[in-house]
Amino acid sequence: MRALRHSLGMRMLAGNMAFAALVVCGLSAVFLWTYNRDLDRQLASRADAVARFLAGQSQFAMLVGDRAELERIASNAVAGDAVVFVELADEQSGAPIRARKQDGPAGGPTIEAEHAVLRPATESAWDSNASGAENPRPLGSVRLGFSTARERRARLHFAAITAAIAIGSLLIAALAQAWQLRTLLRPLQSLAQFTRRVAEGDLGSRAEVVRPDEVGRLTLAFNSMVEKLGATLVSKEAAEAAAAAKSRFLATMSHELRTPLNAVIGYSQLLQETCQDGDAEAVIRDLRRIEKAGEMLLQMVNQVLDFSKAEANEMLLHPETFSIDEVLHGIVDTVRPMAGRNGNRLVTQVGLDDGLVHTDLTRFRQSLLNLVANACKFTHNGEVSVAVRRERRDPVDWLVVNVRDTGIGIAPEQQEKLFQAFTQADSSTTRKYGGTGLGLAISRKMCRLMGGDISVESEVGKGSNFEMRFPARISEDT
Amino acid sequence: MSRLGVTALVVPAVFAAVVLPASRTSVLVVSESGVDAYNEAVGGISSVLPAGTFRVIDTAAKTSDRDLRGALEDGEYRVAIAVGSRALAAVRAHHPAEPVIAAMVLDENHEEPGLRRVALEVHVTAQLAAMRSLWPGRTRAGILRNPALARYAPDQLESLARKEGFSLLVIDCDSPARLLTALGGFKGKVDFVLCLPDPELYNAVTIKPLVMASLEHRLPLVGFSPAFVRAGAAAGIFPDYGDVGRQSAEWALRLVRGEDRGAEKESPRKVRIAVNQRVTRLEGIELHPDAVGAEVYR
Repeated sequence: MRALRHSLGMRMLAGNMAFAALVVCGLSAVFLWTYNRDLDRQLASRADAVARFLAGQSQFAMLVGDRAELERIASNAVAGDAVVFVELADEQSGAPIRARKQDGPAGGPTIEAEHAVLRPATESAWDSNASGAENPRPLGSVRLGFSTARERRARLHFAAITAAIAIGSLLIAALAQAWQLRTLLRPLQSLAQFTRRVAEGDLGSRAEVVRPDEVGRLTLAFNSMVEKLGATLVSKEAAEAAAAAKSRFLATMSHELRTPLNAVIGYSQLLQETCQDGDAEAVIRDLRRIEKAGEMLLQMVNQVLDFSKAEANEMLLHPETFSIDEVLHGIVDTVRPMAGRNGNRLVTQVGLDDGLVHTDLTRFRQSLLNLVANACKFTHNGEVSVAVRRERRDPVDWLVVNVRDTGIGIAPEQQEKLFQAFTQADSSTTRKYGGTGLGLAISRKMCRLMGGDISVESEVGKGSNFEMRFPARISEDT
Repeated sequence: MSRLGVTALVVPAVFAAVVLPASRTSVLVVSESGVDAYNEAVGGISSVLPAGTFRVIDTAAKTSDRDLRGALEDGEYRVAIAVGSRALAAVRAHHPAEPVIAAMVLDENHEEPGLRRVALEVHVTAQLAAMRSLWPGRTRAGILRNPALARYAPDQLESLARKEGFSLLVIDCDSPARLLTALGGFKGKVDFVLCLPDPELYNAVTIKPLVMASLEHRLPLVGFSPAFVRAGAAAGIFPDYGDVGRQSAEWALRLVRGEDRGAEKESPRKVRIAVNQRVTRLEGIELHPDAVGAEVYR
């Protein structure tokens, strides 16, 4: 019963087999009933025919009173297989002549038949007692018992054969039905397993379409649904990650903005006290610090502004021709103090026949400065090298800048996140090294805006290699 | 005589004949069991012959041929009595030197040296005499004659009938196929039809249509055996089969004792008459069985 409740196949099999059993049993019953009815009719007909035959045989003997002949007729009748007993009643004599089979199925089932023995009808009324409407008059009667033992055996035999055929048919039908259901339900079971896998989070696999039937179309629909579900989940996860990154960005930005603001407020208060003391040098020193904190604020606000423009596709390029050497030296000079503070050696390798490029100088410098500053930032007592080369791939002339460091390196799973906005390698990096997490995202967007890209190769503990590649010449209308 | 009575006579006789030593026997009786008339005849034989002086061989037995050959070749029998045509044929097949008495055998109208017969046929005159008593006033008789077997010519038969006070119409019939046509020739011309023993004309196949035709034409048949009467003849005149057996046995004893009279044939001494009352009623006739001591089959 449990299987019936929980298995579609078992329910279908049980239902179909119940119906088939009902049909087979009904047909068998009708078949047997018809057979038995026909057999009964045949038996009755045969018994009646035998009785009629015996009546005909007995007619003359009864007419002339030949009891010896009647005895012979009776004994001959029971000598056969079918007649069990015979009673020949002669109306003009005393006791009827009876004969009963001494051997064979005397005690078996019988049906009885009776037939009147009539006086033969003749053209002339030779019997003075027989005339007119009374002719023919009965001479006597024949009553016999007709054995049905053979027919009963035939009935049982036939019923057994019918039952065997019915049971065999049902078995064959059950096997065929089970096979058909198994074939039909196997794709459904496979689909159920597939949905379980999907429920467990496996959105990458797809259910196999066994046949292009209804189940096959259902499987296709499932696959399509899971595909869309996967895409939705990815989008959802991305949205959630973006939301989380923005939350972290806000926290970081709050912290980063508070630091220079604290400096501005603190030095402003200090400046007031210093002014009261009249120490001019101290005033100038504090003003510089206020200026520096303001520059930091401005830089952060610029970064946020750049990123917002990039996100809104509102960033515009202003190509111009400049010398890469000059830009590179300027950047090195800018970051040299930072490199020096971390004990890093700063190396530049410029191997260019033609150092002129035509692109957006500001974006290029901003991107490269971000890479070199990051290298100096995350490297201690190591080496930061900046190498520039040209790479000719028709029809584009590429400028390739590699910024290598021997710093902390980046784990492979974190390398792709590097270029996502508001993301650093991990939160501990943010806490330790500071920063908004927008620098690499802005750099990549600028580089891509210039028709290039930034990629990274890194190994934890050994350092990183950021490669910036962009066309040496971009068109004016980019 | 009833079947039970005949059996009661025959069985002790057969038993005595079989168990007694062969050296004391002098008459060999050959018969066929299963026929009431033969059983009656054998009963008559055994009532006359002293126990132990005869032996009965049944031709229906499986060993009958071997027994018969052995008995005849030993030569210990001085006379053989053959009861019935089949027994006579079996005895004749061994060509015995001893005299043979045939009983219960129809006269085939040819004599054979050494063969003696107790005739089965009741003479026509005796039959007519019996009919005169049985059905007084009816003097028109008819006879279906088979030319191939008849002992008498038509005029001889008519002469014999006239002597008994009957007018006789003889119609020849040489085939069963013409039996009913021949019978129809008697319609309205005779009071009854005498049926003389003739296995070709009167047998199990012809008897029923013959009787039906007799009923149709109101021509009472006078048969030659009790079976014929039971089968539909209005009356029957036939030998007393037990007495035929006794007659045969007495003849055998005379032969054994050397007192043979030299005759080749003896007529039956005693005649029985039977009436089928149901048939007479159907035919609307009234016979008088009491007048002749006839048996009445109801």
